[in-house]
Amino acid sequence: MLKFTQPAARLSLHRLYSSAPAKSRVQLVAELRKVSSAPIIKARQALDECNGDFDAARRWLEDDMRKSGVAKAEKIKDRATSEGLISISILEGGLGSQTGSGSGLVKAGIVELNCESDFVSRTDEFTRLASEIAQIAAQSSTQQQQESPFVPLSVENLLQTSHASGSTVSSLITDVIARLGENISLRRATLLSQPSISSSVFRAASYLHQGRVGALDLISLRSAPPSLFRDDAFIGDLAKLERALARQTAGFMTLAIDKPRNAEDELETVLYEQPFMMLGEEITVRTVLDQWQKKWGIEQVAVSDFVRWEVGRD
Amino acid sequence: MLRVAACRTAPPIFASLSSALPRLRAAPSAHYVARRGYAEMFNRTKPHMNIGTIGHVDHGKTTLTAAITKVLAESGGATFTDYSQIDKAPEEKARGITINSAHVEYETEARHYGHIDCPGHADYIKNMITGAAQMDGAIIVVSATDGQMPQTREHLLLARQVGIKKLVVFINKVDMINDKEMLELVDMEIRDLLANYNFDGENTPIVMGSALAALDGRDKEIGADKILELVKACDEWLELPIRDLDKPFLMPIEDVFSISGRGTVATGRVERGTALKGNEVEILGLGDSFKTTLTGIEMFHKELERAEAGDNMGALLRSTRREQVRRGQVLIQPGSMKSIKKFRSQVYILTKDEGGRYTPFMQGYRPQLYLRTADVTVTLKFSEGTPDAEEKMAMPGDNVELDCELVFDLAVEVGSRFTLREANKTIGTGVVTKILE
Repeated sequence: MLKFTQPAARLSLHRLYSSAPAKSRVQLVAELRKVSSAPIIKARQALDECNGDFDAARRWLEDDMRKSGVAKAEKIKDRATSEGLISISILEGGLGSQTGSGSGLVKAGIVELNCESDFVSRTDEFTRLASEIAQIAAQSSTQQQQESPFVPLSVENLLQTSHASGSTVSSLITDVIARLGENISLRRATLLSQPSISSSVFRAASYLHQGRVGALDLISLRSAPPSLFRDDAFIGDLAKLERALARQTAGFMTLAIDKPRNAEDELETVLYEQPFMMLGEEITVRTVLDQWQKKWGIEQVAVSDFVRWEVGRD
Repeated sequence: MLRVAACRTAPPIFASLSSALPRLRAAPSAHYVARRGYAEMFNRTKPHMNIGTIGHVDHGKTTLTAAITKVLAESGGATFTDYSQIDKAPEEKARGITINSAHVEYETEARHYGHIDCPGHADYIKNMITGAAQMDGAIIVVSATDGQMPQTREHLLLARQVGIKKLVVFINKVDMINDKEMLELVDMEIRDLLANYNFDGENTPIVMGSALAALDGRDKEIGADKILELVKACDEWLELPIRDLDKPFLMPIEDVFSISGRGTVATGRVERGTALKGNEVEILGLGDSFKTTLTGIEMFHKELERAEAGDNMGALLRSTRREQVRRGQVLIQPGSMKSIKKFRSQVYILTKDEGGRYTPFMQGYRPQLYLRTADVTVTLKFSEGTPDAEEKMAMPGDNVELDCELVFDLAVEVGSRFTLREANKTIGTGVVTKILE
């Protein structure tokens, strides 16, 4: 089949050459690769199958990438994936936040997407995929009754969830596998969802360290006068504190908020007992929070819950 | 002996020695041997360089490495190392840092190569920082069936980052595509990409072959022949690093003595270059820099006329008071180095498991910097232009670009390696990438 179409395609191009300045087969393959980043062997096949018609070849490729992506993914699905990225998407950052509507609602997603090498995890394609999946995770709906604002999502369900474009997470992944040629797997995903309640204000804070470590914190403020949230100075100061808290959570091996999770855990694993990084080594996070709430006349500012993930670790 | 015999039967493969000759002129000792006839002897005076293979997991870089050792083993230049031995990439420790990398070595007619193959970006960077296997050149491996991939850009960026100026490209699996036009396209695309990343896109040698064919011993014209073409391209295109002996004289000062009737003697191990008795030398660093004359060289209580890299020597300095010289300064060929306080560097922050910190640090952190025999307090900042530097942190396990400001000036140059310590703990190790002030 190939042998038959190949000379035909070439012939037709030659004929075009004499009349109109048409592009050579090689140029067309090169362009196909630019728009699709498909393997060279596939781009050539697409062009030959479609008798040198560029647009048809492009469609053929898209179709084939899906199919061959599935085959490729199947073939390499057992290869170890120990590199990758943590990605966080905040849809609703809470009261006064610039992210989302700024109403009292908090909604965010955190995911870990793995691949085989750190070369691939550094590519734009992979980074984009991770952030798309984080966004989809953040959009998931939850059951009415939930014990904790952080809800682990089932990876299987998430893989079948559709993206705005109509394709599922699973097909988004296969598409990138076809382009990057490495096994890619979605390891875990968690949704942060906190409805607004009258007694407290909630806000989301996040920090990503080179995609290797990620922290998503739920910050709560008790008895904060609503007028404060229209004060730019306050919002700016709050955002700075939140960034510092999320960075603190990520930077240290944080396991708990105010008391050690296990008796043998070191004090440094407790967020409030850690030395506050922004100000050097002497002052603890607890002290900083106390001073901050006094400064703004708020009854309490606290990290009410958090998730801290490292690539390839539990 | 076996190697000698093998060499004698090999000449047709290395028929183009003449092209390798101009390069050899740079290394006088090797030149001498080459002139005597290449087939006669196996020698250890061949110039050495380190290269590495970089490429996508499925593009066959490990197969290529195995194939090189196989083909060169036939001429006695290597010991065949099979795929599985290379692919394991054992974990090793260099300066206390864990690195995954596989090493093989082989010899061509002109050179001796140390070859490394690492699974990841971070491993190559750690190799560069620690100097465990500093790559002087690299072979980029790309499969003809896929062509360059999005991560090929990352491969080239890495090569840039570790300071490689010249590359050789191997287009693998050509037997699976068999279409001259398409191979030309792969060639063209790669040259474009090379140029985009500031490599010489036009002149970089691109060799097309099949590593698997070479490994299986079939299809000689795309297999073994191409492997030989590739190593020849490495010999001719990749530039040799300057040997320590050929660099300007440098001796870090370890200790200073005052010997009655003779004067002041500084001791240390010559890091590079050579010095003759009577040479003018410069003492540099720690605020005091001055010139004097090397009136005597002593080693093991014997007077010498000449000292060279590797020697432990005592340097007798003309009309110099003991207080003028201190540990941490260097004795150099005048004008060959500058003493500076500020430089940019690439630093690896050790993890807790490697004995380093378990907490992150922000900029403004002040550990001790150890360089040669000197230790000086340093202030670390994220490199200029880093967005939100004042809110950025460095965590154990990070590879990070830092600007270092020393409390006292030291003799520092691009490529100088140092460690960062705090409370008797090594917390980081780095290499100087740019002099700032």
